[in-house]
Amino acid sequence: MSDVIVFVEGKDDEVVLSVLVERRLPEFRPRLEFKAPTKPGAEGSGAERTLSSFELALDQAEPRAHAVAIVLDANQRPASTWERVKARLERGGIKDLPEHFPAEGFFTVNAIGKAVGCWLMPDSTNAGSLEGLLWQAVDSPAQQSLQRQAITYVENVEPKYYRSQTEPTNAVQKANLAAWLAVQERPGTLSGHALRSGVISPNAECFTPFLNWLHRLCDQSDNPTEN
Amino acid sequence: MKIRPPSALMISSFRVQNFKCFEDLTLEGLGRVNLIAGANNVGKTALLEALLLDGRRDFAGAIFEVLAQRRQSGQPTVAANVREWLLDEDQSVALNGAFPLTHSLGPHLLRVRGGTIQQFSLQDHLLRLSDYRLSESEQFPDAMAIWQAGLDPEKRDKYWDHLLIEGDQDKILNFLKLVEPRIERLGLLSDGMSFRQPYCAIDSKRFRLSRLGAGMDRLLGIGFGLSFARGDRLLIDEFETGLHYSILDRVWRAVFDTASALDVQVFATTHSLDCLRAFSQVASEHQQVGAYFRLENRQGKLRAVRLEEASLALATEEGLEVR
Repeated sequence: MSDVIVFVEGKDDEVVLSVLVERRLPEFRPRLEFKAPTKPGAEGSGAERTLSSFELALDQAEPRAHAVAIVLDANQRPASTWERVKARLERGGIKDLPEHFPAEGFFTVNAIGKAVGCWLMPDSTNAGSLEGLLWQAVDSPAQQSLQRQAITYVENVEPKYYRSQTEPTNAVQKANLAAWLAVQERPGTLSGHALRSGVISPNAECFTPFLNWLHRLCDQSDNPTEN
Repeated sequence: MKIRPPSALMISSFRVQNFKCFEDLTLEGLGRVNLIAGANNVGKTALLEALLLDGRRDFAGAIFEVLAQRRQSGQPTVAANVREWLLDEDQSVALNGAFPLTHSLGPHLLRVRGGTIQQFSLQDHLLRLSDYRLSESEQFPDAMAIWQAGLDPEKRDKYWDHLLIEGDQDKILNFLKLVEPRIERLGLLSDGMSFRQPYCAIDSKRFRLSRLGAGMDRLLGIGFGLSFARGDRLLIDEFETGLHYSILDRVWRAVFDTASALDVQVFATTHSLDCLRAFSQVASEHQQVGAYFRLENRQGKLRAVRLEEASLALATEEGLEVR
C-alpha cells in the first residue's frame, strides 16, 4: 500500500518518474506510486482525467495515503494550467492558494492532514512538458550531437503538423525527443528505458528541483498528522 | 396488518451520538440503497445497530437482537446488558437527534420515532433474556437486520406465511434464481429441526436449500429481508457473504429494484472491492437511488465520507481506493 500517490498524465510519465525515483530517491520508492489514468480519453484529455482523480484523492478517495500530488505538463501557458489545478484544489476544500505557481512547486497540508502537492513540468516555471525536462538531461557530447540533428530534422520536416497543435511547445519537445530516441543504438528506445540505461542521465542537475519537491512530499508522509 | 404510505420512514440523514464508538457522527445524503465501507473496527456494524435501534417499531426486540448478535448476553437481565453494552455511564445516546437511551431515566428508555415519543420500561418490557422470546412482541412489517450469521431461522419460520399472503414468494424466488435459474418453487418444511427449513424444487425434484451453497442462504435472507421490511428499513451486514463476485451486480440490481417496489430503505456494509464495483455499476444505472459512504478515523475523529455516483464510478474505473 503506497502512502504517497502522485497522479500523472500518461503511462510514459508513470514509467519515467518511477525510474527517476529508483535512481535518485530509492529510499522512497516502496511507498511512492505514480498513477496514470486507465481511461485517459473518457473525460477529455488525459490531464482532465488526472485532475479528477487527484481531486477525488484529496479527501474522498485513498484514505490511507498520507500525501497526494499531481504532476502535469505546464503547457503553453503555465498560469492557465495552475488555474485548472487551483480550481480542483478549491473544490477539494483547500483555500488561500498562491496566485502564481511557486517555482519550487506547490505544497500544503489539507484539513484532514494529507500532504498535497503539484508540480508543473518541465521546471514549474517555463512552458513545456516532461519531454522538455528529459531533453535537458542528456550530457554526453555524442548524444548532444544527435540531439542537434534531431532538432534540424524536426525543423525541416514538412508538413509541420506539430505547429498546428494546441500546445505547440509540447509538440516540438515531444517531436524532438521522439526523433532523437528513434536513432539510438536501439532504435525507438522509450524514454523510460533511455533513463534506465543512462542515455538520459538520471543524475542530471535539471531533475533536482523536481526531486526536492518530491522529497518534501515524502517527508510529510513520514510524519503523518492523522491516525 | 398496516402498510405505511410510501417513503414515510425513509430518512435522508442519520446522526448518532454517544453510541458505542460514535461520539457524534452524521451521514448526510442517504439514498434508498446505501452501502457503507471502512476499515476493520471502524464501526460499520455498530452503525447498523444504531439504525436498527432507531428504526425498529419493536424496540425491545431490537435491543435484544443487538445484544444477541454481539453475543453480549452475559448479564442476568436485558436491563443490565443494556447498561453494560449500549450506554456510557454519563452520556445520553441520541439517534437522529432523538433521545432514545439514557441512564438518567432509571428503568425507562425513551425513543422519538415519527414525531411520537415512545417510552419503554426496562422492567416491564425487557425482562430476563430467556423471557424475552416469550413476549411475542415482534411485528411485521418492521425494520430488519441480516447479520453475518445470516437470517434468523426462527424469524424466517415465523413470518414465512405472512410473506406468502403478501404475494412475495416470487420476489424471494427471483433472488434465488440469480444463482440457480432452474428453481421452480420454494417452501418451508418440517424435517425434525426446531424450525421449518427452506426447500426448493428443481426439475420437479426436492432439494434442501442449504445443499445448494452458502450463497443461497444469503440470497434467501436478502429476499426475505426486503419483503419483511416493506415500507421500512433493511440492514445487511457484510453484503457479499457467500456470494461469488460474478453475480454481485445482478444481486445489487435485484436489491435496487425490489427495494423501490416495496419501499424499503437498505443499509449494507462491505469490505469487498468486488461488491463495491458492482454497487457502483448498478447505482449508475439508477440515478439518485444509491449512496456510498466510507467510515474512517481522521485525526482521532470518526467521520462518514460520501461519494457521489460519478465519483464512485471514476474511482472504481481508475482503481482508486475508496474503502
